[in-house]
Amino acid sequence: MSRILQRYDWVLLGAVFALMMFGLVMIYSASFPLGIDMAEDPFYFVKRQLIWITIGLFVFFILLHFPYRLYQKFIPLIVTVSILSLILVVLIGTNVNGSQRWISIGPLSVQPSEFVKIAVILYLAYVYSKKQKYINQFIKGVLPPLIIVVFMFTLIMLQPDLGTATTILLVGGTVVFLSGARWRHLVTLGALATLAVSWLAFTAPYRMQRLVAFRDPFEYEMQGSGHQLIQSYIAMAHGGVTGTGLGQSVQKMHFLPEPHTDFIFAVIAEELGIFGMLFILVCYFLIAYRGVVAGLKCKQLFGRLLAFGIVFFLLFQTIFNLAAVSGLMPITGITLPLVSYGGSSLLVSLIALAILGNIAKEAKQQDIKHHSSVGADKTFQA
Amino acid sequence: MRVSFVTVRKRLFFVLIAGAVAIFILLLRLGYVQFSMGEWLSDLAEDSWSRDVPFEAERGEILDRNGDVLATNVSAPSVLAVPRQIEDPEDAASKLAEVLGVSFDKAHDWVTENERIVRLTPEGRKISKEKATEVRDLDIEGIYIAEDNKRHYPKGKFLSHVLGFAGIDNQGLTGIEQYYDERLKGEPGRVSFFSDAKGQRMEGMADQYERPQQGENLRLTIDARVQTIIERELDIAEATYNPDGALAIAVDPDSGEILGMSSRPDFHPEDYREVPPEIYNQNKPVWSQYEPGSTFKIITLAAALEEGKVNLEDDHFHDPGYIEVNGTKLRCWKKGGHGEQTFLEVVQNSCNPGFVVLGERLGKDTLFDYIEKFGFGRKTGIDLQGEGTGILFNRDNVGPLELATTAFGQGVSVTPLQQVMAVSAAVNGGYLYEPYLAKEWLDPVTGQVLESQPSNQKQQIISEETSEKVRDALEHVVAKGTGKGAFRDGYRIGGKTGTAQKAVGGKYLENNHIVSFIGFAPADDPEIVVYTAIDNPKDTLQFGGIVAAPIVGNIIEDSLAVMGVERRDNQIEKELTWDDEALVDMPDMVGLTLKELHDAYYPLNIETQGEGSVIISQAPEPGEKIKEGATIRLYLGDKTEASD
Repeated sequence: MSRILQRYDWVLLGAVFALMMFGLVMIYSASFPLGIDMAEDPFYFVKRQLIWITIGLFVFFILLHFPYRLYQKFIPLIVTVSILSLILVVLIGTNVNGSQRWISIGPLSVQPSEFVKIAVILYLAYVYSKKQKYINQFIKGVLPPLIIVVFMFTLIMLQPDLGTATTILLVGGTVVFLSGARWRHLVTLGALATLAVSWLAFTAPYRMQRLVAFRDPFEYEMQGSGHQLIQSYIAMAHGGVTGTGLGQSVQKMHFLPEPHTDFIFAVIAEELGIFGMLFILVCYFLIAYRGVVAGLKCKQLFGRLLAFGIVFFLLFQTIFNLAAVSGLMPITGITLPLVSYGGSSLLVSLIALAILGNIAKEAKQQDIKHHSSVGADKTFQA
Repeated sequence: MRVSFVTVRKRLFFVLIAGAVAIFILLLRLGYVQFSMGEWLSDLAEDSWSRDVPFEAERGEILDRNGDVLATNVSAPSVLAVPRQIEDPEDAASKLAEVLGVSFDKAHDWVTENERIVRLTPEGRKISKEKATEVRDLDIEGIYIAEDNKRHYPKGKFLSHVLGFAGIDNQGLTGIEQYYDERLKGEPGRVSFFSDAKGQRMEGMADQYERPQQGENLRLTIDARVQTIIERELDIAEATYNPDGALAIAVDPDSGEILGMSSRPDFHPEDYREVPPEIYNQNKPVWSQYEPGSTFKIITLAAALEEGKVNLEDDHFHDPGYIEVNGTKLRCWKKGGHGEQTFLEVVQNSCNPGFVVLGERLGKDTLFDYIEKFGFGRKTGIDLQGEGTGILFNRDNVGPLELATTAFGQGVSVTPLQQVMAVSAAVNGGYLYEPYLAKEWLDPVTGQVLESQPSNQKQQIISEETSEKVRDALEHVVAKGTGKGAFRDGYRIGGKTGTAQKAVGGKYLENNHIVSFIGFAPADDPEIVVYTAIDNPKDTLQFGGIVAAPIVGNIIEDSLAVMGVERRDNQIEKELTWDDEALVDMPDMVGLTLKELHDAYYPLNIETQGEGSVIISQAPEPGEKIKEGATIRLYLGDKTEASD
């Protein structure tokens, strides 16, 4: 029994679970005014999140035991389903606030672009681990998989959702970088991507507005995003070092928009001060640390790229979210993984972490085998 | 395979470094926003959150020294609108417009303004209770009636310049109300109805009521009875002389407590908008500065006596009607002069050349030292805004001529209050006090004294002996000299007249004077110092002795009576002049029957009141001096009743 339990990376699993539960408490605290307002139920959002956590944990438990190598067999299927679901969103998606990102399934709505993030990591990790022999060639090695990524990017931009689309490019770029593509090729691709994203950001008026408001939120307070940022500043400054105490946030009372999703970190900072911030940062650090260790221990290039891809995917999400909340980057609508309210993002984070957990588990198993075999038979030659 | 594993590890290192840098920058930013932005964001935050219906604090009451209420509050509710809670602005606007008597457009603006809480200023602020009930009966969602109050001055124009007034937001704007606004205003309370950014009341959260902190009550040094006498006398003076302005001050010379202070033209504090700002902004007793004229001679006299430069009885002076200083003839106010006099008579006659001699004997530096010691040229420090400092000659520019005119009160500019405090020092034994109005702070609920203001003695300027000589000389002025108008039997009033020329644009105006009198009583131990100045009285000789002295006499006599100061019998007898009528003692008539009254002969005009055959009461009281032929009142009743 102890041997079975030893196979799990408990630090990783513990950090994931702790973040999720902490998130649930903070979602309650941040969302009860909104819940009362919308459905006369302070637990409105908590109940929904609990359903998602239940589903998510179920999926997590299964995938944790699903050998990651087997994903390679499903890559064509995964890519096909991803592209189809994105097309479906463009065709029949639910429009909320001017962007069409969700597909409604009964009472729940799903955001396919979230899942596409994992699909891209899986796909690129797979492709580049197979193409190691000609990774130095641009046309034959680096480019072809990227065409599919750019296609997905374009579909997401049709929703439109620049934040998610950029994340995909960035995560994809990281995997390409890690897989050993040439610097020359990487610089060219990076420049192209930067140009494309900038062009998209500057041409759409509302994105330009966000950008300008981000530069000087107080000047553009009346406009949505400047207002959001100021409310976020106020929340954090109000919290100060010690915070106002759990449940004591004033800013969540409809002052801070999206207090339970994009801006939940501001509410955490307001209520719990430096303690809440440190708790979250330490948990993410543990996850990233265990993820990198698992990747380094993995003997397979696919597993290694996959582990790093997942770690950086979560890291980027976290950085983007915190940077937006603190006014370091424009607001892009990226949630805080595992903490923010939202089924799709939670589910995707859990799937990604389950894959990472599986890689870590295998790495541990190897350690255990190695140890026990060394202990059992000293004549074994490695 | 082996090679690519190394590559991945190298590349990972790059990415991790980049990530670490990004996270480091992020941490700096988070720390900055969380810990350093707080200061300047807090105002913004507070402004953004407050969803409170304010409860104005009641201002502290202002009382006179005996507890008479001078300023208080009356309930006056205000209407507030929370536009986001108003479902039908058109309907609400038309209803409100009708009740409050405003145009529909204005009401519509109120209920649709993009504010959390709108005060319906001014028509919906501090309205009557009846109006408030009408508004409440409209029963409009999002319209609230907030308990509010407004300042009420029960005595009307009484003491208006000193009290000042409070504005629509209960903030002190002038006078005591402004000077002590911090302590009077209290702390406003609020009902927080836990409303969120949408202005909606939150269910399930109790409203929080924060009690307003009532302002502290202030007890003044003012004696309402003395003030009433002052106001009455100035009313009469205004009616009689139609002056450009008038003022009066009464102080307790032994403490610097202001007993009364009035300035004309005056105003009603609740209707201050109806008069021009210069009327309520100019509290003349502390604000105005002008040449004091002869009242200033008291300072020269006190200095000369203290320095031993004159013996009032023994030193003589011949006044030919002028004195020549540096080739300039300075004339005495009396044509032909006062002739041969003792210096006591110089003081009695207010003889200018005589005072020039005293000034010359003192010399420039000594005289100016005394002027400064007596407090001229700087603020007295009274607890009111807008005090003047006065203007003195720059000593370097003082030649013999300037010295001479300064000695009899010309060429200097002083405030009335400076004169009062200086003369108080001259007659109270030599001690200069700081004048003050705020006597005690009281807890508004328990009435307990929170803080008492002790009197602030600045310094002794002249000796007790000199002060006594000054009092004696000034009592002579009233009994025998220019101040006879202020003589009152038994009260030993001392004083000095003043007739100051008004200078406009460097030239003296013709037939336009500020006539003044400063008096004190009783001369053996002064309990009150009173100063009155009448600016440009019409249809009269513009002399302080004629216009101002009788006013001060009346004020002192009646004030000492209400203050319970005994009449003295060792008074310097008044020197009769041709227009003085003989005085007789009022006989004691109580107990006489009507028959006995008719049998006796009294040189008086008798009026009777009431039914009966016996005199049960009389006015004036027995023993008072009355003029022959004066009217007296007798009250009749039955003997049995009288003996009850």
